[in-house]
Amino acid sequence: MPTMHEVIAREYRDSVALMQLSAALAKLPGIQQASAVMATENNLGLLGQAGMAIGKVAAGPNDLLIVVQGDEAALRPALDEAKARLSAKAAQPEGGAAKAFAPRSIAMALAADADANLAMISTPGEYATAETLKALNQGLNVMLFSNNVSVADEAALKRVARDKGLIVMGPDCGTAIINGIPLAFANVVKRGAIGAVGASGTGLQEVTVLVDRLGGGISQAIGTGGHDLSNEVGGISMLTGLKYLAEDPDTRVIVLISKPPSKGIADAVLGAARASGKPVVVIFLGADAKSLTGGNLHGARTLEDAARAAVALAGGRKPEPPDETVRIPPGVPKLAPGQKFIRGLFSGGTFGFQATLLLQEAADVHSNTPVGKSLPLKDMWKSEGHTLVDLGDDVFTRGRPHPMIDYRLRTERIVQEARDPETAVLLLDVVLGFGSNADPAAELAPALGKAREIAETSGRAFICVGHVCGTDGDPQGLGAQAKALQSAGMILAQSNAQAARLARAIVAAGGGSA
Amino acid sequence: MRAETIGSRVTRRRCGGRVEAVFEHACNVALDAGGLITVLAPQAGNVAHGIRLSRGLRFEFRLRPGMPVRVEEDRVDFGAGALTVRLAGARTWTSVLRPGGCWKPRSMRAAESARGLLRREAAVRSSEFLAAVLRMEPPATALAARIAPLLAALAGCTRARDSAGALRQVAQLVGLGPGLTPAGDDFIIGWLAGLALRAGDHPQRAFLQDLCAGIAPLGRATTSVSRQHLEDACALAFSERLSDLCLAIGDVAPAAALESAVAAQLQVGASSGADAAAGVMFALFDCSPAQRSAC
Repeated sequence: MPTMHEVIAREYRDSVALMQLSAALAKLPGIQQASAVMATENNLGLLGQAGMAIGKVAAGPNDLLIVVQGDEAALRPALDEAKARLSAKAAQPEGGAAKAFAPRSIAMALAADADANLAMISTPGEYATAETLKALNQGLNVMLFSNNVSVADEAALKRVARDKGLIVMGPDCGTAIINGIPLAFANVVKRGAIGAVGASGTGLQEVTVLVDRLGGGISQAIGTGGHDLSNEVGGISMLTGLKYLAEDPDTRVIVLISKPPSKGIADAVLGAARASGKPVVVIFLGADAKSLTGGNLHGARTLEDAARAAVALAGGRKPEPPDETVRIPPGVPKLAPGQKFIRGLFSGGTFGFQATLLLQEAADVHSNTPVGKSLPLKDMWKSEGHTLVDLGDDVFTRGRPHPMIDYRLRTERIVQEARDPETAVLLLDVVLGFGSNADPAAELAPALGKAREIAETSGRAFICVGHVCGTDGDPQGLGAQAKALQSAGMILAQSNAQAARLARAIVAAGGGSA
Repeated sequence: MRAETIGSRVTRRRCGGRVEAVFEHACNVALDAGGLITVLAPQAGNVAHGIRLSRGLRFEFRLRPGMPVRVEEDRVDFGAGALTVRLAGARTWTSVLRPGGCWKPRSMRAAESARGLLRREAAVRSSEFLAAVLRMEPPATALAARIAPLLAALAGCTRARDSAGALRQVAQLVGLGPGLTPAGDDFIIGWLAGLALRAGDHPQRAFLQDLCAGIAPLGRATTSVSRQHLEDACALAFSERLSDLCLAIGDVAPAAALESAVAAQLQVGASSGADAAAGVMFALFDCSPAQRSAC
């Protein structure tokens, strides 16, 4: 088999970067194998063992060696692609001509674009407070993506922002859509008359996506960070966001999303919502929706209910009572006698949270992030009874990317759950949009295939229920992802709430009728 | 910029050098006289050839590969005023792992706990060494196929305290695998740390000494950065995080402390931490003299 190589002298990359490069090259048309390694003697031997011997090469241990094997015509383009990928990455720190224009401070950035009015800060937490203060002092609103900022610092920053008439979205703010521009983990949705303020990133994503799917549009989506409605912070950013939306002529309906705050904070937020003069849909996940309803306030029980109510109100209609009817689709197999439990593996924290709330109405649920009546998992790496796991929890993300980006942990766990004879239904979320994995269906399909094989060879049914939080405008494309996931055996529901209810109904019925 | 700690093997003599590589939290300086200094951000663990700063620094904004460096007794100057690291007042950091110093009969139970924690991680870590040592399904790679017989032979030689045989296997691991510090080197360093942890009697220490003397010259066959790490390990000057992991096992630390030590070790580099942890487990479980057999 033809083989070609390239030596790049004194080039250093870590092992993950080199493995990613090797994998990317191996996927190129006409390429059978590819390897990018430091040119040590033992690595040269290893290449020979892999059938990619290149003979004598003028390179030493400190040089990077790229070897590709495959069709003759594909080799040179593959090596050029490798060099382009390496130089593209190197160009960022090296800078070249662009370096002179790359701002190194907020003041420099403002000097280059005096019209900027928002800074997005994504430094390690230890530097984030100082950088946020600098931005606020320059008159900028802040989206603070960084985590590991103390609640005391958060409260102080938000008080400074409030005094300056600005807003701090975050810390740990993963989602926002400002003037139609998705920031961080966000989806491509139509612009429209519905404005949202949320303390939950995936909660905001689900509402904005469902509004889009129901024919509505989003004026602004403002994230506040998960601690904003704590007693220490006092809901400063939610109150500011609410004020912005109340004053925004393009916003006709407002949606507020949070876990239930303490009574004092809830009273302040609901008081401001009443004073806004606009219809406000309120979802405090886990709180009684009726207690939030009255006047211009419309309580919602699920994220889907909130989206439906907002779209109705924006269209000048009264929200209809939620339809919680569940129909098990045809073709769902019967469960074997021992298959009793739902195993939920979530990348979005709020999806796990909401599903837990819905499932615990009917049964005991275990979780690594228990809520309400649910029970803590004894070992978060092993399911017991009905188990819903938030894979975005710190324990799982230590040293690796968030599960919305890196699916490895979830695909491993899918196979693990399939081996458990008590698993009845796998319950998943799939989040599309900017920041998320480029092709979630391609990540999940092999694991779902393996899980099906394990279950069926053991005489058990394989049932996987999921929902996709995304739109056709997202880089991954909702239609293509949904089709690929259905081909891989996933039963798709329209929302996280519907997926949880369907999983519950399947287990209660002992499977489907087929 | 002030240094907080200076590794015990950092040269204090005046010399020149140049920036060799710049990373997010570290920068390597190749010295004209040979050897390497690594300047580390505060969040990185100490290493014997490292200078750790007292405050955070975006290295890539200030330093460039090839930039000249001047090491003086009280400071390190980079380029023409790009950065000066002041050494006055910095404390000397020394690895606290001493051969056999903290090993107890109960330590093996802590080692088993650490192995359990690593087993959870192995499924999602790209480490052929970790998969091999934990007897997990190895990835279908040439590296996995290559190391299986090498590790089996190395375990046999170690159990038999056959240093010449062990060094023959080690020579085939040096510089083997992907990365700036090839995985084989990281594994060897972890293996030496694990052997040091259990080296309670004179024959074990003598065996370790023979290995270290034999491995140090093999560093020529790997990258300059990795060679420095190997030389440190051969001087039993292990990195802070690797030492912490070994001490947590040896001292039978509480479960939370052990878990924290394992997590910190796994965060070293892209896969270096996992490969070195695999080496520790290999030394503790596969190379026990109790399982003596012919090499």
